[in-house]
Amino acid sequence: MERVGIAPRPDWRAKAEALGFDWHSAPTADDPVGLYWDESAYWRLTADEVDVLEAASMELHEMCMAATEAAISRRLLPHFGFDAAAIKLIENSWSRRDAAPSVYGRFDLAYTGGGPPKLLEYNADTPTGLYEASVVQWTWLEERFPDSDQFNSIHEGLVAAWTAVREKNGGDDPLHLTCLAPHAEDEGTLRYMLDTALEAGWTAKNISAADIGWSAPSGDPNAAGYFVDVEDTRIRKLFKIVPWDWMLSDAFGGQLANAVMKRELQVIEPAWKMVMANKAVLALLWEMYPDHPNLVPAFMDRRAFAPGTTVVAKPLLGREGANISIAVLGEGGEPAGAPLAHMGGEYGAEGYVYQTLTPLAEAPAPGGGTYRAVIGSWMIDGVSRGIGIREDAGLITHNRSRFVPHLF
Amino acid sequence: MAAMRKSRYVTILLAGVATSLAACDQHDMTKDEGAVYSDPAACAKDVDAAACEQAYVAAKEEHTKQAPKFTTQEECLAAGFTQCESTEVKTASGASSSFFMPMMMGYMMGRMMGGGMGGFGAPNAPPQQTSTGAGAAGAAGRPVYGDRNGYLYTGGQPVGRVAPGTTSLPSGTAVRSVSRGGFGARGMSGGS
Repeated sequence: MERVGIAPRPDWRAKAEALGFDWHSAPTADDPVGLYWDESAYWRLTADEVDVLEAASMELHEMCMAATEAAISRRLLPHFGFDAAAIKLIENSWSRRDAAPSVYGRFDLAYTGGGPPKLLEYNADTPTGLYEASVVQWTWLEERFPDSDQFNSIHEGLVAAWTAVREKNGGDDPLHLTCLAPHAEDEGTLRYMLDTALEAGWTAKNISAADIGWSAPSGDPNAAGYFVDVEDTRIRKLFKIVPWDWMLSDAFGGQLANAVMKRELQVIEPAWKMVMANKAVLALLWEMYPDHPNLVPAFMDRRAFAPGTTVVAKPLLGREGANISIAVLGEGGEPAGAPLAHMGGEYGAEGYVYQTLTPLAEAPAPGGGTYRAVIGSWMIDGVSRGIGIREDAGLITHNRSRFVPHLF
Repeated sequence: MAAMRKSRYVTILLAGVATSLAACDQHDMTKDEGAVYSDPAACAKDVDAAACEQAYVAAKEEHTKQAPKFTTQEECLAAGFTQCESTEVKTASGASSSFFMPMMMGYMMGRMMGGGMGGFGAPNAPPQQTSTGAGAAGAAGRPVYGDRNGYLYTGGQPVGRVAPGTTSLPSGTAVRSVSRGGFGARGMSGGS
């Protein structure tokens, strides 16, 4: 893996926007440019490295499926921070997972090219960065390096996955897709998902989560009710970029769980993806597959680490780097000194998992300092389909870390 | 194997469709407390049949007594009702006169509704000629009327919606109330 500097296309912004990629920058007061799509460099991989990433992703997928089975059969889900209602829903969903298929997920991998890729976490429920990986970096490749290749058949994978869901479960039902609005990135990702579902033959439309209605014939919220869109069309298939744990704790959470358990509503991603999206699965994986080359030591109890280990604390339900901190541990699992890095956020009350810090691919930043890259490896319907690379000058990759294209 | 990784085709439908998902203009139906049915049979699918019948009879009675009455069909329609019918009203002296009144599209089965709801009729209906004001205390059924836009009302309050232009509800219809805003309490990105 090598980072190569290159002059961006002078009109890259216009080209990005012509693709509907309107979240290429996220300016703030501190960072008025707010670059998110960054084509001032690309990462060049070898074909062998791509093979390694693909094989590791396929193996990690199998391991995560096995870990989900173990978490349920060994009744470990309370340790994941789930309440009784969520556990019931997860168990129900897993027991008939053939009828509750997954479309997509994204592993975040540490990979330097020198050793095996290591699993940092699995964004199994609401992964984004999808359009960037599938389409935006692809059009960049076609324009800049038409003779090179890219680890990217994400689009074909999504169309195939939606086709499979439709043929298996769809019937004549329309597909509704929802996210929280307004939010440029999530809405953009939703538009792309809509595009792929339409291409797969669905009748589909997007709806803001706040616009989803509960239609009932009486004041009793559980009496013969169902979810509807703004036109009062019944929602039977729902793709969401809203985390399961948020939706279940919302006012309609009880109706949602009921509808899914009664098979009146199919939600994608399915409820069982909550298990592998939860960071507690990292500790379970390490217990099940100790010293596996694609895993990093992870424990729920930080006293399990030898003093002097540099450890990353991750909230079980955290997202986008929030509330992650990195510290060197002393005796008894207590941090020795101040954290090396820390991100603010709203997570952590649900508990933490602790993971040994593992090196990321690094490259000198043009203006001094170091860039570190995380590989987002896309699993579409259980198949490794491509990667997107996020880069940051800090130790923690977060929601504003830049997306940098790749080729091989 | 690596040579097969190239994406062979990507169709892009996204350009120029960066439409917002922000909520459309909606009538607020969340105040609704009861269900609207076309007839007792529709009601009996949800609740006790005897109660359905009782509420229906009460609603019919309220309709006969208290529905706004107009001297012409045009006036009745101009008040916003989707369909009107003529009716004979006997005066105290025994003479009968002809009026127009809105058709009862269905009835509302719900909690006991006493005063405070105002008269029946669409919101833009003129002051009623024969109404005694509030609905009869204790009646568990209320007549429901529709306007041209498909909104259903009882006591001047919106209680549901059907397709615009609907003039009558097919028998067996339960008009459902919709509440929204039950998802999305966290107004932040759900992506990861």
